[in-house]
Amino acid sequence: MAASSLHGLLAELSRIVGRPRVLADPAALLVHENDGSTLHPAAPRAVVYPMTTAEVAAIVSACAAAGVPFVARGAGTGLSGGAMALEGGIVLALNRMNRILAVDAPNQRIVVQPGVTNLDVSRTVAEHGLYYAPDPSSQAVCTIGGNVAHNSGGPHTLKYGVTVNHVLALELVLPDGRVLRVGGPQRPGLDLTALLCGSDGTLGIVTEVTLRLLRRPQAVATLLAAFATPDAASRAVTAIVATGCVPAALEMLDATCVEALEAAFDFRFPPGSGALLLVEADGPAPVVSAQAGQLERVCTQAGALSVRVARDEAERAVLWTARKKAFGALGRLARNYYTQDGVVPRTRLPEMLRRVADIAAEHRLRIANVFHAGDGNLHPCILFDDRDADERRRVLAAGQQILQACLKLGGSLSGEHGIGMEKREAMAQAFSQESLDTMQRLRSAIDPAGLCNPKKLFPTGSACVEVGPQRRQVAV
Amino acid sequence: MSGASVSGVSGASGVSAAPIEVVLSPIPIAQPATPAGVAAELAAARACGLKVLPRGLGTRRGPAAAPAKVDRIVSTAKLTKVVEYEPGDQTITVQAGVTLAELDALLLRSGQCLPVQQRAGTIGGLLATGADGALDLGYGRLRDRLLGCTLALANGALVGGRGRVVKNVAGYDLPRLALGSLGTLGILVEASLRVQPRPEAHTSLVFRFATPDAAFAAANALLDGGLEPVFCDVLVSANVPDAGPALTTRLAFGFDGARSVVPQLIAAADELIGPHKPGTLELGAGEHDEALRASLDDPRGAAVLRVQADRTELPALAVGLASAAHGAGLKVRADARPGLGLLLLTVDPAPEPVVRALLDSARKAGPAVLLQGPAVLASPDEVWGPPPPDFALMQAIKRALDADSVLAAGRYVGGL
Repeated sequence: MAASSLHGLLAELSRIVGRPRVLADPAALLVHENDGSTLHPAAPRAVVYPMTTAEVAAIVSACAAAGVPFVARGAGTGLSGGAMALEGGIVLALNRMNRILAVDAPNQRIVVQPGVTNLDVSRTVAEHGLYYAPDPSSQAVCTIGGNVAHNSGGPHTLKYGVTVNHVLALELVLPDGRVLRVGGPQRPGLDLTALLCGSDGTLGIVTEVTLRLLRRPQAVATLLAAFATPDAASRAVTAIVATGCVPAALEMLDATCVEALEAAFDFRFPPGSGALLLVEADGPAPVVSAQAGQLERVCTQAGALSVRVARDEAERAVLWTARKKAFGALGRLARNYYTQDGVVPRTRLPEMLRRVADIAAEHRLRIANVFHAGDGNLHPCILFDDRDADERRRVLAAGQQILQACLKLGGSLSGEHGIGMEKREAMAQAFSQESLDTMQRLRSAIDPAGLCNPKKLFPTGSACVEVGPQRRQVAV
Repeated sequence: MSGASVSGVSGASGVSAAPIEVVLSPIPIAQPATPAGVAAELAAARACGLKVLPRGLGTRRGPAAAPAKVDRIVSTAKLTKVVEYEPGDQTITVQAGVTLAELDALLLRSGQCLPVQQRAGTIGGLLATGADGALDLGYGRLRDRLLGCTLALANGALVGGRGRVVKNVAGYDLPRLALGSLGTLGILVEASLRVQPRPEAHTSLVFRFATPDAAFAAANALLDGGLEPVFCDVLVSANVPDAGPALTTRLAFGFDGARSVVPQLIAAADELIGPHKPGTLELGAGEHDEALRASLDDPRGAAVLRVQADRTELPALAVGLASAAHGAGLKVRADARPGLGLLLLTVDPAPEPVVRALLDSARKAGPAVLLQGPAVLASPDEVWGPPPPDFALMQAIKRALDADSVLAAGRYVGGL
């Protein structure tokens, strides 16, 4: 883009939102050159902070008129490079669009701007006995807009589903600047809400979201069981599923995580603990009471070395620390880690874990595994030192091999982090060319100019992205 | 027949002539035995400028507007393979022509089920019509169970969307776009679904209430009480021979779960609804439970409307519509589902002016669809209501996937 036209666009953006809400100084842009992932940085040409739908629409129209790409960004906690401005585009930072617009407790519904954080939704409606179910580990920071873009999940999606299962309606600024209300899933017509959830922000910018709220369960039971090996813990998972109980959460951590957690929090797991299984059941009190006893028995019969059952909310929080702080604790073992997000059918998990171990050995890397065992969603964390260029290359190769292994076992490239730029080339292995062409036609139908978050989601035919030096890390 | 044949055009084997309810003259029906065969039929039809009506077994009538034009029918009835079933994963992948009865029998062997009440027709038909039901309250909707699908497009492509695992955010959500859209974007030839352990025990109860207000208050107490009933319907009804304006109101709900637990849930539910003074217990635990549940999702009447409305608006809407229908001399049942924000209105008979008036009235409260009704009410706007604000985007998607409007022309919202 010519300097003069960029200058003209920046002037227009300043006119729309006021100069203080437009950043173009290279030093100020530095914090937007990456998201929570470890991908190669790409600085935007400018960052603009809209506060209203009208401002977003005006910014998008200005970008469209100037032929400049644009991308929406929430808190920047994404792990797939989805919110990075490639090709010198404009970032619309939506984190200041953080107003709760309406709470309708009797109808269990809330309307929020996209910059509202995930946890703020639940906090806002807690007084009504309601909450918002999807709970990514970054929920205190990550925004609802980002959750919609990546169809985010969390530990409780086994029972309650991911973002798409809880979005009732959206307001969307189309890539040409038009504003559209996209109706809910029960309204007659094509399910555009579902199309937009998980679309990596490639079809427009969501400026308002109506979410379904759930009533807090009457009772919750949380158990943390330690096993000698992931295989033993996997047997417990199979046995739990066979009981007919659908746990609210079923999370597993491997020996490397156990070591990191012990170092960080002094959990005092039994000697020889090589895997942890966090199980949570929720629902009506009589149901949970029956299930809690059953879950404890199943874990013991599967060979658990110990089973800790939370007696109250405080103990429950302690047990969840093992899961929620596991990523942070890995900092005790390595300077950096690269988190993958793949999915396999649940029964293939033991096989997949062995494959991950083989890949780690092949590349002389250490890989910690934290995963949603109930739905087969793995998060292998490859530990490394970002100052070692050779190790960075091996990390990338291992990550790609893990994804290939997921596909080979009948799984998916991503369960909840999105494709973004990180996995776009692998889409060619996951889908046929006809399928990709069809999705491209859908995209072009909505964004003919291709300016809305370009170079994401679809293969570009270029080399894979690099694992670059990191400035920070974010848990998943 | 050969999967790749263009039989409908060439007159080769696999094509038979059969009438369908919407068109008087016989229309050729192709029944390919493979997904590739379906795709080839569509490509051939497109090349010849023909309009195709997708079909399963033809057991489900709607909701659907009368097709603008039908040159041939492409049926998925012969796509009967179970592609993959791993009970431990609680997922199944089947071709579209697998019947719901076959699916249920297969899942039963592993103690699992697809929690829908419908038993007639094929899985493809169920998904293409986007059927919903009372038990969606406890088990989630079909939308929450559809993991992936393969679509045969009008250009002859076979296109996969999402996959077979329960969590997946790779690529656009083609499966949910296709769900309920009557094949207007493509013919669904294969689907992966999340299935469910079959509950050990299930029980339904029906209480009669003196007033609709009391029944709705009891329903709210039940829904907010944390007992998680699998369905909770307030039924406001009137029979034609009944004298006077009085409507009968019932509250029907059910629990599924472990045998030891269900009785405790019933006892707890009794306590929750007790203050709202329920009257006669008409159907006790264990009695005719399955028949009741099936009847909720198989409303029998000359016209059936499905209205989406806020939980807080449902009492007035149910009573208003039921009174209006009864006042017009019709037998009526308004089945309100406060936990789902839905109302099913069934009337019998279905004189066109009254049904039209009921639809107009319902549409003031929320989006309303005519699931079945008098033949004269068959235009897209009559069946589906006026096109929604995001219709332009739907048209863009239709053009992207079926530029020549080969598939299901005129059947869906706005005549898509």
